[in-house]
Amino acid sequence: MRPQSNIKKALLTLSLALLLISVTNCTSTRVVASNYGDTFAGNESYETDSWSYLWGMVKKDVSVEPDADDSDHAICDEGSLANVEVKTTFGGALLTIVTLGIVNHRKVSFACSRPSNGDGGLDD
Amino acid sequence: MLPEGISKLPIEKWTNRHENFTQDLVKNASFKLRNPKGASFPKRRDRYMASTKNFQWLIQHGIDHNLKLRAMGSGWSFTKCGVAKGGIIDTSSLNFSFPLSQAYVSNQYAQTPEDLYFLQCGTIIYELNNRLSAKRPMRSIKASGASNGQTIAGAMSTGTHGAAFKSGAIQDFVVGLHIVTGANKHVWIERQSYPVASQKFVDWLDADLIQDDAIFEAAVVSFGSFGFIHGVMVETEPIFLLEEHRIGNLAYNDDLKKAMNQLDFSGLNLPGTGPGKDLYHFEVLFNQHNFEPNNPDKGGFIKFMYKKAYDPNYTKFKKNNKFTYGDDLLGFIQTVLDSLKPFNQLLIPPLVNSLFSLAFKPQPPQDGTVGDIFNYTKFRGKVASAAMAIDIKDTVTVVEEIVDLNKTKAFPGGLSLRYVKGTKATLGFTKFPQTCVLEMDGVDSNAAREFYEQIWTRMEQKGIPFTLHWGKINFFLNEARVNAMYGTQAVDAWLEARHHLLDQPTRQVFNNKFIANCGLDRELGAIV
Repeated sequence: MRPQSNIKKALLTLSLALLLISVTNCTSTRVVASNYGDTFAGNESYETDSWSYLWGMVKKDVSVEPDADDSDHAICDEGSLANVEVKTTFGGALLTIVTLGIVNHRKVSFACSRPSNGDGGLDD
Repeated sequence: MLPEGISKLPIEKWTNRHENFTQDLVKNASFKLRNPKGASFPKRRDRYMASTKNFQWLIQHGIDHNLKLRAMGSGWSFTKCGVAKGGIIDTSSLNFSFPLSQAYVSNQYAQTPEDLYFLQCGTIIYELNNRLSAKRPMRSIKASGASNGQTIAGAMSTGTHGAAFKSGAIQDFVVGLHIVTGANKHVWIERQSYPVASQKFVDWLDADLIQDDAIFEAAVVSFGSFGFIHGVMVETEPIFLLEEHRIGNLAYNDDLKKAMNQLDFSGLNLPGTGPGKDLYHFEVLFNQHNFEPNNPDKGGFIKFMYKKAYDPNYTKFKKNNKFTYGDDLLGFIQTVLDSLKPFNQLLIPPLVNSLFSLAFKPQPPQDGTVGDIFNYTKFRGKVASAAMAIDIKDTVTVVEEIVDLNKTKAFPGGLSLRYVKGTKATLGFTKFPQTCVLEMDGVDSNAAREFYEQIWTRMEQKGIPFTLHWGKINFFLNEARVNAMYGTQAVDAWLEARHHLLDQPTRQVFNNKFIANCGLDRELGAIV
């Protein structure tokens, strides 16, 4: 294969990859009380989608309370959070622009606090 | 209905923390464990015992449904050593810890009860450090990995290490193990040559007692293959301070080579020496893209720490919260490198030169406890990390091989050499009496993986003995190589211990593709 076609192929691959990245990658804000949660890294049951409609006038909280009835994600047994991250993808931002703010999507991931009072004697 | 303390984990795949792989899982096969609470479990022992029974329930569930199961700690490993195409058992909420009184300690134990600490498997190193520093008098672990988010069982089982060249790795301060080895069986294992627990402690666990050096040394680094490790007894020591120094622009010359190959620091004139200080940690870093012998501007960086007495008035350093790279940056770089492969020799050196200066900077000395210094890891996203252990006498040879290979096959990362005291664990990868762990950390990409494969192949061709970290990138491992690295005698001893502890149906539950590739799921004949 000629070097010129190699370069063309590489640039085409790069362009497609960058396009894919721009759609799937995120801007995010992470709020951290503790970096240490009560589960392993990458546990998808600690992630959920957050939708709001009509410029935020219709929305639903992401509840992780111990008695929450949401079943699409984990709940926090201790009733407290260690950290939360809210992400907006390029696709999500585009959706908001195209619908003039009527439909909004964000990705929420969270870590629950670790169980407290773990230290104590064998006879306690 | 699930027993109290077990809940379903509705996941069908899992991607590890550094996004190096995704493991497919069986639907409805993953569970989370918590220590049950409520009126039925009035004491902490009741809660711990209930979790033991829950582990047994899971093993029976695995046998009944032909499922592979693996306990998961914090999910930091870079390889599939601790997962299977079956279910993940999330143990991270099992974080009880118990100081011991004399009644629970063997009369033959050489130290005092204050030196022992019994931890439930999901206790993370961060919690362990905090709880020990809350004791009066304050205590400390003997050694740590570079960061502190791993669970004690996970860190131990993969041989996590720092650069404590007189203390060793995490597993080297473990002195007893409580392992659930079957649907109706759980055992307390300690060395016969180093008993720690009294019969009262074994009765507290309601476990069978095994005092056997060979079984202990096999089980302590077994990457989840020996059943569910429920409890770990560690030895601690009175709290101490570390005085950390970071120095740059050190010429790669005979003095540095002598330190690297012999741990002889006489030519380095290390600052900070003095009475009451003992060199504890030694680490050398190189940017192989900016490397030239005898040129301080293109030389190494060293990080070393003295161990010294604790001073309650020490100045604790604050965590900074500056701008750092986003989670997706390394993935972006990976895409660029993989797409523009023909140009990698041009792209990688400037990239590494920019990132290396962010990752390591000389700085004034600072004091801290083990918990202060080895804190939360800053590296996120698609990081590649591989670590090979070599005898320290081979260090210079291997570094020069890497620098040579890098001239034609650029590595998108840097090198660090961390020195660790050798381990007694049968398959502990820090197996050389004086081990140097040579780490190659960078952006996960085809360029990095091809570099790893080529340098490991060179090592084999040149007959330089080495092992690979079980929890870091190690796709090079197979049965023949594991046998060559550790010797068939050690591999057989590990397999025999596994057979002794687990019956055949239980072994099946804890088999996975990783140990199959390494020949570590092998069935042995009858053991006489």
